[in-house]
Amino acid sequence: MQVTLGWLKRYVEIEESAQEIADLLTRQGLEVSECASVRPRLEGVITARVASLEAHPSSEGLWICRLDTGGEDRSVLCGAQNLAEGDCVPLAVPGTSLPGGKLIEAVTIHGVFSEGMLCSERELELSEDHAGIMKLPADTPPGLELEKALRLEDDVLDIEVTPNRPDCLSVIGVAREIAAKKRRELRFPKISLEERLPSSGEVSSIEILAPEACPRYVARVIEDVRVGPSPFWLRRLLGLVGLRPINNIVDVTNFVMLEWGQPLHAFDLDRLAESRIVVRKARDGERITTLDGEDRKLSGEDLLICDARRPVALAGVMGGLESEIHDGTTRVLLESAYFEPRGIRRTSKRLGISTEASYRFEREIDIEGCLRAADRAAGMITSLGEGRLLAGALDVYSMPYRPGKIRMMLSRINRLLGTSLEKEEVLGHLRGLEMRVEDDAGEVFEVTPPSFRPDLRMEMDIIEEVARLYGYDEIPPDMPKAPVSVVRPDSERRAEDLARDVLVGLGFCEVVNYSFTGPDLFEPLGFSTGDIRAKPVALQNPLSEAQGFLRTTLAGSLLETTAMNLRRRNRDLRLFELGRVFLHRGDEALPEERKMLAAVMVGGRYAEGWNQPDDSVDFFDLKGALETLLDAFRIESFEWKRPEQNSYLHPGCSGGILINTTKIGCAGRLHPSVQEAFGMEEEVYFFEIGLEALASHVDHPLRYRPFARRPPVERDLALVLDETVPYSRVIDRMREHADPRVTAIELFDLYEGPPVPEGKQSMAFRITYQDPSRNLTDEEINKIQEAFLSRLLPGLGASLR
Amino acid sequence: MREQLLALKEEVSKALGSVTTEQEVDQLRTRYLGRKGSLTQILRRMKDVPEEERPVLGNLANQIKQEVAGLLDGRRAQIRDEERQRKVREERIDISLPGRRPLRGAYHPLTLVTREIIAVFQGMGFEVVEGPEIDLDFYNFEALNFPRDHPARDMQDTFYVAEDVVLRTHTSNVQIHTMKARTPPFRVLAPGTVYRCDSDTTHSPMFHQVEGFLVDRDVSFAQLKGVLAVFCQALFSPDVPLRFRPSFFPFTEPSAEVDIGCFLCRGAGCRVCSQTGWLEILGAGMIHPEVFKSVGYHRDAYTGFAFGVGIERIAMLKYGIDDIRLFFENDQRFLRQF
Repeated sequence: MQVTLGWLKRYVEIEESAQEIADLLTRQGLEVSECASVRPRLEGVITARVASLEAHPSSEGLWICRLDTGGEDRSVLCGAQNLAEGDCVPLAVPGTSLPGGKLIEAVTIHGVFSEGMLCSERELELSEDHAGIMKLPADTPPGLELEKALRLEDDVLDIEVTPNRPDCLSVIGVAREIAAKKRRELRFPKISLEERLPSSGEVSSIEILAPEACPRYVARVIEDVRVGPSPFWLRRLLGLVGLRPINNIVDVTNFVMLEWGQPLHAFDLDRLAESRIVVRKARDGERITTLDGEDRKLSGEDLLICDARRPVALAGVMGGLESEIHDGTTRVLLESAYFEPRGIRRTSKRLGISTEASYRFEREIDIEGCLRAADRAAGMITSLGEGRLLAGALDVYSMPYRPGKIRMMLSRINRLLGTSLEKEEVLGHLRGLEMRVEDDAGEVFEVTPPSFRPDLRMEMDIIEEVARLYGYDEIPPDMPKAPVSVVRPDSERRAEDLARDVLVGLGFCEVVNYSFTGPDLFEPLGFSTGDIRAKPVALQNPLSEAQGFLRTTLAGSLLETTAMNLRRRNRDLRLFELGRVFLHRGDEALPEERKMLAAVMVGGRYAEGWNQPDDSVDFFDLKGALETLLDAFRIESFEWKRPEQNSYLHPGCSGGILINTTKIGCAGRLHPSVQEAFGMEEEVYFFEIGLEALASHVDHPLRYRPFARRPPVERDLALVLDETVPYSRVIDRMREHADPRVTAIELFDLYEGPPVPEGKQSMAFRITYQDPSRNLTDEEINKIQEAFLSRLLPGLGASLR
Repeated sequence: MREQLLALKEEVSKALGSVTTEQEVDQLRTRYLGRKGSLTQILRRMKDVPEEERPVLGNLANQIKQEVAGLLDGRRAQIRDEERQRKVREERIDISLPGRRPLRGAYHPLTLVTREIIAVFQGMGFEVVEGPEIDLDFYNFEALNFPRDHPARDMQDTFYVAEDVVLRTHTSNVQIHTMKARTPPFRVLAPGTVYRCDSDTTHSPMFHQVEGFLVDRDVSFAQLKGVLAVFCQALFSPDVPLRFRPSFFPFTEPSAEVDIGCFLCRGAGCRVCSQTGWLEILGAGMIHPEVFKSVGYHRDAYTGFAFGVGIERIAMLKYGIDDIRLFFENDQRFLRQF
């Protein structure tokens, strides 16, 4: 909602600057998002009266104007054809630089000395009008600066009106807020009507067939109207607040809509069949061409304004094309009605039309103000010298407004706000907002909100008004009284934090991707049709097809993020994401939301540097990172299983992770075809695990375990095995058969090739022996190791190297 | 013999003057003090000394032996010290060469801000609770006093999964879930991801909020102000100016928007604060009676307040980020800065 400071001053005294008013309104809940000062640069443009007008003797179409400029007379050559003697016009005197940059000089043209230029509104950048020389009001004294004469300086405030305050979608509503805060008088515009017979009831009638949707409909009839441009001040004012001037009738309806918040519509009465109005619901499939030229198909929910035969307007939303005011209109029917808000909103939403009118109706207008607004507009139209107002208004008001009373208690107000306001202060604020207060000496009182405040229905609404007027900033801050109990974050939250800490410590950067996904991201992953992840939850109204679904895995977006970084030459990536995936849950309305943790590794193992090896990451970097993560959660009993069913991982270099036989996720190298689908040339390593599995371990109690303080003895042992024997089998058997005094077994070398025979591999282990109570002798260790080997070797088909 | 002993000491002392290595010192030691060394040779002749002189000479011999050993040790230590110093002088590296850095990871800026906010409110006794991102219309709108066909719904452009199922437009749905499941008093903080169909440099279709609410008997608007003041001071600075403006949210009344004084221009007006000198950072208010009604609390039994903070907004202000899309673009050059 845009208002100008000058317009506000019509209704309330304002001595403050525009910025001060903007600040006042903002602190009162009417946020002023922009406060722009309008200062036309029209120095050197003065008012002048056309004293005489003489056709140029030789050049056709040119006029020699003698101008009275309040002291000296000037002659100006003019090509416009709209001048008459006695007209008041703007004159740019020599030396003036017009807003567009044009410099005016005294020149001799066609033998005539011309001392300046008469200007059109467009030349002064006051409007788009360039039809002729601008005409000033007839009583304008000559010789004044135009800026002063027309009071062109103003300030435009752009106010963000919240949906609960339809009353402030009007200049008077905004002025009321200033008046209430400053305890100043609100001056309503005077309405003076000169009514003539016949009465409007004799020429027209209103019939309402849908009273719930239209509880009130007021019409006034004006005859002998002459449609033409509005006076300059009206066009200028509308222009400043962002409305395009149309003609005097429509401009007045717009002015009154902005002044009072009541949308009005003007019909050409002669275009209404039988000159009457019928308000009814549309029939399904019925059509109307609205004044924007669109053919609209209606539903039974929509409300129509009709004449005796056909629809003439889409009620509260937009007028019809055929009943519109036009240049030849002479009889006008002014509509000022109240339409039920939800119905207007449904129509406006369904047809996708939002107008100044529908915006106000759907927020609810003042049902008590319909007649006043109609009278105001009628009065303005006739006082502009156009038309004859017929006596009496047509006013069908089937469901009169019944004000509600709200019972208030001073102590409850103060308790809720944490204030200690006096009753008189509270009542003062409420009265300033035009609430009626019935006050019986005690602390209880009753408030009747005005009809233009549909948002005030209960005690809390009134308390908010008190707080607003008193000033939020005046309320002293306090702290909650309830005892504070410190609550530890739940295990899921702590698991998230720990996982983040570990991965960041390992050099991973955290990413946050959209939950949205699209075919480009999930199709390359190649989930089989039976996989729950193959059918993502779809959005009904996505922003684009690429964001049409909700992700079922973090893989798609994390891989795309990786690919994007690689395309931008960000190499050596370690990224992770912690986020939710969404999985259909049978017929249930809501999907399952599962928190997942995914990470990706690409490129160098170490940061680039003059003294760093340039190895690339491989599967075991990924596995190591994941195992360190599990270790941070004190998860010891996990295992890796092959084959892994994940279509998007390389079958030979990937596996599933199990904790106590429960699968928590998968890890491995990205399948080369998926890698290619995402446009990556590098080997990509990826894991994704469910966070729940980690969360269940985050509360693992920490217990100190004593360690042997006797010196450890290390022995190396190289086993020659068949090359198909996996490490896991070897280590499992070693652990199974190891003596209790073996405290660590570490693989330190893996080797294939001569002198190890073809088809064999060598695994070298470092075995640590330690007894908690005493030092072990070489002999004892030899014995332990021999016994160990004799149990170990046969089962593995291994020999010592 | 006495002369021989004294001469030996003199000789050693002289010989030490010309040795330069520890090895040479050790050779001298062997030569003079060893089993076949000069001193031993001299002492062998002790038997030829008259009995009464032996104790005196014996003492002298011991003294000389100790002195010689002392000379040898001293020289040896001196040489070792010189050697070490020489080595230390030689072991010079170019310390201006780059260090061997491990890869440094980074938390996402949204995580940093969320953690910071949580820490402040945890200090005030709030517990962290999460809720569903896909929820029924009831929890996201209806119970929060957003009636159907009401313009208040325009404030939040909503993604729909089904007619009655939405991507939550705010974390306020956690209010309803929590209130339905528990009995006051409670102080809850609900961080999470939210969605609105809107996309430009300051709007993202997915973003993050922290919702906080406190329900008890006799909670006041003044207490809301106190709690939010502590929050703003902790997050920005202890002397940050605050402004509470009336506003409208269907689920709170009185409702407020909270601005902090722009810390970039110190209130003078700049591009970031749109020349107003203020930065809007959160919405808040007293929980609306209709909300209590919708979760089945008895009228007048409780009062409470709620507030909502946009994480991206705070992060953009704190870190000077001018385009919200940077958070979700995840360029490593962006991520590494945090």
